[in-house]
Amino acid sequence: MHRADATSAALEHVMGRFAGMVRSVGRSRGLGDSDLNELTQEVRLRIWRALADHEKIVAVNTSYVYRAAISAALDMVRRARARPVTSLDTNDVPPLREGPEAEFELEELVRQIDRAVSDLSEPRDVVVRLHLSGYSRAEIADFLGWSEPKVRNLLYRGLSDLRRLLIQEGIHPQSYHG
Amino acid sequence: MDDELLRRAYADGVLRSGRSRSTCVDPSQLVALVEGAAAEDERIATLRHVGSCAHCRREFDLIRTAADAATGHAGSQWRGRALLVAASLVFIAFGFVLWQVFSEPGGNALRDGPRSDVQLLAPRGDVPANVPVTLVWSAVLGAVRYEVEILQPDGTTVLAETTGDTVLAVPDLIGLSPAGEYLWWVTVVLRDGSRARSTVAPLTISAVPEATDRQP
Repeated sequence: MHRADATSAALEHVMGRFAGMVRSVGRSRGLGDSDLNELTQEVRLRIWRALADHEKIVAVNTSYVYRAAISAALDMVRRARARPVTSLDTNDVPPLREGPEAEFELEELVRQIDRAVSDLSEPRDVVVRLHLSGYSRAEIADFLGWSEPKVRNLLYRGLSDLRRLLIQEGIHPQSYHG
Repeated sequence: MDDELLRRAYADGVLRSGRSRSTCVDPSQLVALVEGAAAEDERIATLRHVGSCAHCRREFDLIRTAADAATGHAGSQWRGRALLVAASLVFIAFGFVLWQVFSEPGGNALRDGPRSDVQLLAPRGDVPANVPVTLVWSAVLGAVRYEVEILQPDGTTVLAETTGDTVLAVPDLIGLSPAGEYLWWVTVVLRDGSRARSTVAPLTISAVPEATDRQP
């Protein structure tokens, strides 16, 4: 086999499983295809540039790929931060309400929710924020290094306190409807 | 109050905030969070911010996706530890037990301990030195993670890894010696925080005789 073909084949062998997992795991977490493709390509380039030989590439181990992946992701984050700040693409999130008046009311509502969450006792506030951001109890427990029962208790009490605080501010479920 | 509506209002507000990045956590803190390398108060502070900033949330998800895809796992934050960082605490806890094991004829102290449902499945028999070592064990219902250790007969920890999977490919950089004798076991951590150990199994790396006619 031609040397360049051997190197390319070795690289695709190493990258095959990684690329598949990036796609499946990344999509399940709501990440866009452009980010996922860029991550995969960055890792592919790093391995190829650093090793450049099919025998070395074939012998690459999990920890090497891991370091390349973390380094690539970190560089992507730093490059993105160096660009001007823009609102995230919200095309996938249908707004709760539309129109300038509704926008203003929504912003005020979000400020009140944010204030109420900040008034929660620690560490209930962290668990509630992560829950409201869309993470599961298992994920929250994993991030914090706590057991799921502990997270479940903190979340139950935190959401109960949050609802009570919001009702005291006059915010009821009907506030969310169009 | 409807939980789903609350989540949508929160996510909708956070996504549309377009806030400045000047108060965002450093990306290295997100990596420390993903790798389980941060102290608890730092984890809490970083996650408090991640839960209130859509930009940092996306970056955190990107970094942990990269880590999970590279290790073939999809869930555990406790990955990529330096080999001996976690081993120090484990060695202190189990060093005493191992000292008893190897100071008694037959070494059956571990069999007197609590039984677990973790069954060590592979490898069975010797592993040739030129073959990657892959450890396999049975899954346990309710397991949050598995802590795998390889030790030398004198109790020195060679590898201490944590995984959410039931398979672990031993990294080459561990450098298991040809004609080396090791021991390995798995500790399962359950959802309620309790732990259970497997029995200890031998891991023998057999030397590969030199070939007289090598393939290219």
